[in-house]
Amino acid sequence: MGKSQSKLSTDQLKELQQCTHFEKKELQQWYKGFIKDCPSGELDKPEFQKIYKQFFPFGDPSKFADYVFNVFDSNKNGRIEFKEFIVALSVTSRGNLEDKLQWAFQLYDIDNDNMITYDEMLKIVDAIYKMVGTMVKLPPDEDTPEKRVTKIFSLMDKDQNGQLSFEEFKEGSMKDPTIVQALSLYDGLV
Amino acid sequence: MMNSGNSLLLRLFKSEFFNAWIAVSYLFKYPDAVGIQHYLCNELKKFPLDEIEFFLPQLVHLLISRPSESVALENFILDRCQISSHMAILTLWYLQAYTSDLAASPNTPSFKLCKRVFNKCQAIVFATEAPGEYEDIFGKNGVPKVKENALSAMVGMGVMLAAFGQPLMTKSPGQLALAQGRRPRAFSTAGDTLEDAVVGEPSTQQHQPPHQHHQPPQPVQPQQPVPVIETNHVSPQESGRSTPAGINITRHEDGATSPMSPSAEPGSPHATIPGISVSTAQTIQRNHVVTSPSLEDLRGGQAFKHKRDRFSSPRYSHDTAPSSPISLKFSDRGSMDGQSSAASLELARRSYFHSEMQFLLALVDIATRLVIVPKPARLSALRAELTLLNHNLPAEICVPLWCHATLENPSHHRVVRIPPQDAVVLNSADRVPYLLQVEVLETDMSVEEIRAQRRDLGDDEEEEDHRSASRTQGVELNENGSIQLEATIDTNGGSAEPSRDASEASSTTASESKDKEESEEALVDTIPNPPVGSLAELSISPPGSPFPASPVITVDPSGRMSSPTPSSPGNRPVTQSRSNEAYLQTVLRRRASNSADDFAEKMRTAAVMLAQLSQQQAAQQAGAGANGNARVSSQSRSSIKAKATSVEDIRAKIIKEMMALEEQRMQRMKLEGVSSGVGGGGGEGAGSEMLEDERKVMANVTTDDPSAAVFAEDWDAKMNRIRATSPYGHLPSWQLLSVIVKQGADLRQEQLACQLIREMGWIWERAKIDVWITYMRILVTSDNSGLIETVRNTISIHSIKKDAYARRLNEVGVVFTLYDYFQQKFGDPASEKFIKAQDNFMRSLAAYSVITYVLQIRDRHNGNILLDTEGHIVHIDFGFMLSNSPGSVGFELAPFKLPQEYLDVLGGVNSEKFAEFKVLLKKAFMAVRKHTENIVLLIDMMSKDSKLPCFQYENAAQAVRDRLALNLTEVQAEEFIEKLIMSSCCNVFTRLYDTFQYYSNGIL
Repeated sequence: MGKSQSKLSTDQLKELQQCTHFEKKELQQWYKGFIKDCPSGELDKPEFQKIYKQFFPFGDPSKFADYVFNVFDSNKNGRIEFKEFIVALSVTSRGNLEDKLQWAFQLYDIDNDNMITYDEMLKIVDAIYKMVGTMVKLPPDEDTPEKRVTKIFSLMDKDQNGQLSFEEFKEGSMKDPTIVQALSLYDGLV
Repeated sequence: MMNSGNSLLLRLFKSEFFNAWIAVSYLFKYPDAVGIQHYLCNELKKFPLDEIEFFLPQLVHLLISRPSESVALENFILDRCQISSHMAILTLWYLQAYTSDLAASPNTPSFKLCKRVFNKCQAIVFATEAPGEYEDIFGKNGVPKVKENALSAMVGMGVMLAAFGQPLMTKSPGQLALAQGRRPRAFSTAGDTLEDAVVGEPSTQQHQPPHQHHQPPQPVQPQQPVPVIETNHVSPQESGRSTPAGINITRHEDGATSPMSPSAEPGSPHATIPGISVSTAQTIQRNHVVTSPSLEDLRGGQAFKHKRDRFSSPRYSHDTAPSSPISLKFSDRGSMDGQSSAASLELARRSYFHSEMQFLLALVDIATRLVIVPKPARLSALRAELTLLNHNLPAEICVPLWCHATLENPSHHRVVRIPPQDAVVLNSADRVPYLLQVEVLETDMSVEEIRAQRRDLGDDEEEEDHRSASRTQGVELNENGSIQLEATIDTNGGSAEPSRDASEASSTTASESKDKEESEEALVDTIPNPPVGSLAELSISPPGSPFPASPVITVDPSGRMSSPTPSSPGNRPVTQSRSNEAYLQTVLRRRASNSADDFAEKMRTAAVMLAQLSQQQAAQQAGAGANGNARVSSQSRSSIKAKATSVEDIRAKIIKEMMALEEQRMQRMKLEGVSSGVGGGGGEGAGSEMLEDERKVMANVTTDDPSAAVFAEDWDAKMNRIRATSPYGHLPSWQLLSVIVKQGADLRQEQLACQLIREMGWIWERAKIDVWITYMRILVTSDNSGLIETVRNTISIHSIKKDAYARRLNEVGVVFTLYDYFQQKFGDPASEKFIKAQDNFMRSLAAYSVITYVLQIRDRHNGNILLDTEGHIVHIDFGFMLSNSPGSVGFELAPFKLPQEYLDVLGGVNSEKFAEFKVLLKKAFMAVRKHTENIVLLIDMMSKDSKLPCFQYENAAQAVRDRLALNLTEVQAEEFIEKLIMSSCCNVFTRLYDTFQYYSNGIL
């Protein structure tokens, strides 16, 4: 599906219907939108960063954008294609909380070993803080990436092994209503 | 590096220096930076509404002229419209003006954006669902869904990913991604939509199936004979133009308003305005169509409130519902407090907007109609119109810009009366603006309460029982009023016959023609026909029918969307059975009362007929042209010719009729005293419109030139007089506004000039520089109409001189100068009064010298320069500024006007006062120089793709910078000003220009 075409073929539609929660019409419509925004039919890292810079003009979103890019780019070919995009959108807008958490876990589990280390978490949180900059006032116990990560681990690392398993990640997220709410951003809106 | 730069930017935005100016200037600098746009718009919400209102022309221009990726500005403006009714109405009018500007290029992103925002704004104003495509598809909790915006979705998903790391940081970026995600997508290119539509293929929708995704079931489009310019998908937007937008977007080239009946059924010729496809959206919104009130409505006193009667009339009272429209905080529609339901408040609000717009439309329409009325009868016609308008007041109408209501103090004023005798016609070359006084009450009282407090002033022409009399007048007028009109109507009947033929002929052409283009043309031709039809109707009623005049009267004179005719066939018998009895009663009543109303109605009827005739004629001419192309037989052409002559006859008769009426009125005035006739006019500088009056020979000055009653009455005296004679004058919150209604002129440039002057005034105020300026409020209601505030207690220098010559204040042959005037008016130059006036003159002259120089305000002849009763000078008429100057004459080369007579008033170039003047002017110049960026921003923001003449030639903003000599040091700049002053002193070009004006236009 690398090449840009004006419409999805029947086969492509069938395939996408199987791996998303979308109907044919919706897929076709989103495909149009995707092609309009990325006429080449795919998006590489620099382009992806550029989008984030548009939305986060006061900070430096490049690192975070790269991490997010890697989550989208599930086949690790260095480009985001429509299929990768729509699968992610399906999970984030119509998946259940567990699906979403599974998907989000990938961001933090940078080396993909099913455990999030303190360092991994710090890298991501640092990237988030850099992206948003000084736009948001934070409570004193979270106002640096280090403090935030320490707090996360003290709350969620039940076995205190310095790593978060998916179970710990999930449990910790569900206990924090602000996380749950943030994860429902697109619920019912796509 | 962009990011480090932007973090500096954030520091600026968060600094104590941050203000609305900085916010607006960075909105302008980074139109495509989504994040910055959203941030700044969010910040702008923290500033008071009046600050935002000041920037509204710039913000709307930025929005429309720079369609951007970001939806922040659009959302911001609409959000402000939600909370402020003034803002909503002003915005709607601006957008309407832009829609007209852009109508020629409907495929541009700007036009599409304009239509979209217009529709949304309209939906806010009239509390309707946004039509068709614009109806946001609502998800959970009524939150609008996102559209297929892939990029913002990718950001939104990233934000979700960040939730675990720091949920506190995801809220506002998440909302931003949603807001951008709701950005409408138009996948089909305009080009193929257009093509498809013109071809009219029903299959359009098949090969563009994705469009249908969010569409509510579309009504089947029958094979309309209408050349639909755009497809269904676009038509709801289009319908915006024909619905409340119909306010005036559909104008003919000749400036006449296009007749569109609200009762027009889809597919009827009325609806075949090019570019407007008929769709259900139109039907849905029909009851929100804002029309100029019909005569029937005006007579019945219902013109500005009929909407409310239809709904369960919402109650206004002090304790329960908010008592004024703005306090209906529409933003939280659901959470209205207490007893009265949100729904009825909704209706009240809609009714308020409706009345508001109707009222202003009615005022503008009067100016349109006056053009056709022969000059000598214009004043009478104007007063007749206003007399009728008065029957509909008090009403829940405020005049935005003049109304002081704010969010904190949401108490609107109410227009209670327009004293007809104090309105004055200002003839200009081809338009008829007029000056009128508007009585308002700053009150929370309901209209009913106000009425109850009305005091009886005895034999007033607006007596209450007269109002009831006028309700039955429809009948009476036919019997009574038509005595004189009958002749006209008979001729009408005869003449209408051929015009009917013409319309039949054109529809025949349409049906016969298989050629798409031709039929399109033919259909277009039928647009101006409704008035023809209504005249034709006359011929149907047999001579001597008891209702000869009624069809004419009930046709909305503007020709624009006339209201349902009360004399529709169903009504007739009823009216007739009542007629004899009613006739007797009303005649008796009429005889008892001073029949100013009677006169008013006859006059207005005549004006209406004239208006119809000229529309008919325009239609015929257009028809003749088009038919010529279509090679219509010479036979029909000759019939058109014959018709033209008969139309001329009718016109002559009507005019004769009007003149006769005018004569009667004058007679009555002589008998009954001036109170029933012309009141005192003048007392206000009314701008260049006075010129033509003033051009009359001096000998005539004292007789019939209303504006020549110069200082006959100063503002306070006038206000007191009007207050004393007003039935509402005793109420404590009574106030008087004085405005000029203009039709046929784009006031946006005047508005920009006044805005710039206002800003300079603020700069000087802040810098504590004691100069004097005044500015006029200007309300733009479309691209060719609006209201201008008058400057109180002023008179043009031209009029001063003319008056002086007329009264032979000087020996023959001796020039009368401003200095003479100062002496005459303020006494001996050593007197306190003179010295004060001289000081006032000096302070205003310093300010206006800087203003005219910086803004390059041209055409500075004495008709455009006013003097107030305290000696202040005031410049008006900003048709030529920045980059344009009056046509062929390029000799206004002096930096500013500083003729000998000004110097004389100041005491000569060696006087102390002149030295003071120079110092003050320098200070004023240096202060503006310091704030160049404010002035430049306002200009720069308006200049891109601007239609305004002042932006046609050069980079206006850069030229302003150049004139402010920013490259010079302070010391150098002061020298520079010194030179400017000296080169302005008695500049030969200034004298030349005044001489030129004298010889070409008779301006002294």
